[in-house]
Amino acid sequence: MVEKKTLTIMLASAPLGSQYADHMCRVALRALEKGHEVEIFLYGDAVHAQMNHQSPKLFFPVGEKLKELVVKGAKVYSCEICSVARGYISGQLTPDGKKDYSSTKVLDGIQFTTIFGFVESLARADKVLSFGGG
Amino acid sequence: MKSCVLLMKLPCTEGESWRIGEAIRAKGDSLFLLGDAVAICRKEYRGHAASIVSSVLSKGAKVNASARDLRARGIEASELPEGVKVIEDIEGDFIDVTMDQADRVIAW
Amino acid sequence: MPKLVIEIIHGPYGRENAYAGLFIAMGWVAVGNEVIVALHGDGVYAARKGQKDPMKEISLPSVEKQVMDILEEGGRVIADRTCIEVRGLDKEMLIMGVEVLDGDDLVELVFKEGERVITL
Repeated sequence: MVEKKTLTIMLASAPLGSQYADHMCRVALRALEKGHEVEIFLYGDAVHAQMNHQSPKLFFPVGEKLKELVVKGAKVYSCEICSVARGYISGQLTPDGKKDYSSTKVLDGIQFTTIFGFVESLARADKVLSFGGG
Repeated sequence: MKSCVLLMKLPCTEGESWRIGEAIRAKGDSLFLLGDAVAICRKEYRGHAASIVSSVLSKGAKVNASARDLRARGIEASELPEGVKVIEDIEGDFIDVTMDQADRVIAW
Repeated sequence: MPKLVIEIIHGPYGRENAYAGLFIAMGWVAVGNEVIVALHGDGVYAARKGQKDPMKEISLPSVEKQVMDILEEGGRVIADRTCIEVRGLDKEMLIMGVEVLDGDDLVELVFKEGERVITL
């Protein structure tokens, strides 16, 4: 029985423009299948992977794979400030003092977090992988 | 210390070649090639990172290339040096090494 | 203390990489962890001093300030000597506190300290 460990993966490139998101999804799925915990952080242009209704037709279906990752137990975090910058969420404070992360544009199961959320994920990881930015 | 390096890009800049050089020096043990990086395997490659794979192999490290990415790019097994393993479930093998064997893992 | 190495091979401003990597480094040290930012290739340009008001000039936040903030929090920022030299830079042109190491030594350090490595 393999010892369960935590793998934290940073993705820094958007889907379609490169294969990094494809590689990331495959590696993450295999890690889950082998019984590991997987945490993913979408950073910079990679937040585009969270877009709802992606329909790549001829390309690797990153949106579908992300949904599958969520269903299979991966924690998928997305950079709040990067998502606000690119128009996915407002991130503004609501009257009850919480940040507004609501959006019709984002896949279910994506959790928004600041860089400190990613820092915490990095700290608890047994292993860390970096995809994209190249 | 066992280390594992994953490469996914071709070294077209000096910084990236530097990075490949690091892979050679890896105390390592395993080099995994995904995506465009599979092309540096080729025996006839004379670019910036020429003979990198044979250098890694000569140090006793394992070089694993993605079967899927090789086929998609039209690279035949005969173009690869002895010792490069062509792997179907490369992501699975990579996870096994990364999570269960390596002390260090770096991905580019 | 948890350790993180961030490797940057792209120059600042033209691409988001340097900013993004330094942003993570800053968050990591701000909560009391150890960070090494390793600059290779064009990444060494991030360590150049005298970056004048990039926000005003090109609407981008100052990478120099990021480097300075990280150093102030006790992080290490290290540039590869060969990459500095081929670009005609020298230590005097770099932000104070940035270290310069030979490539081989920097590789050794990255593997030694790289419990977690982010590449950008």
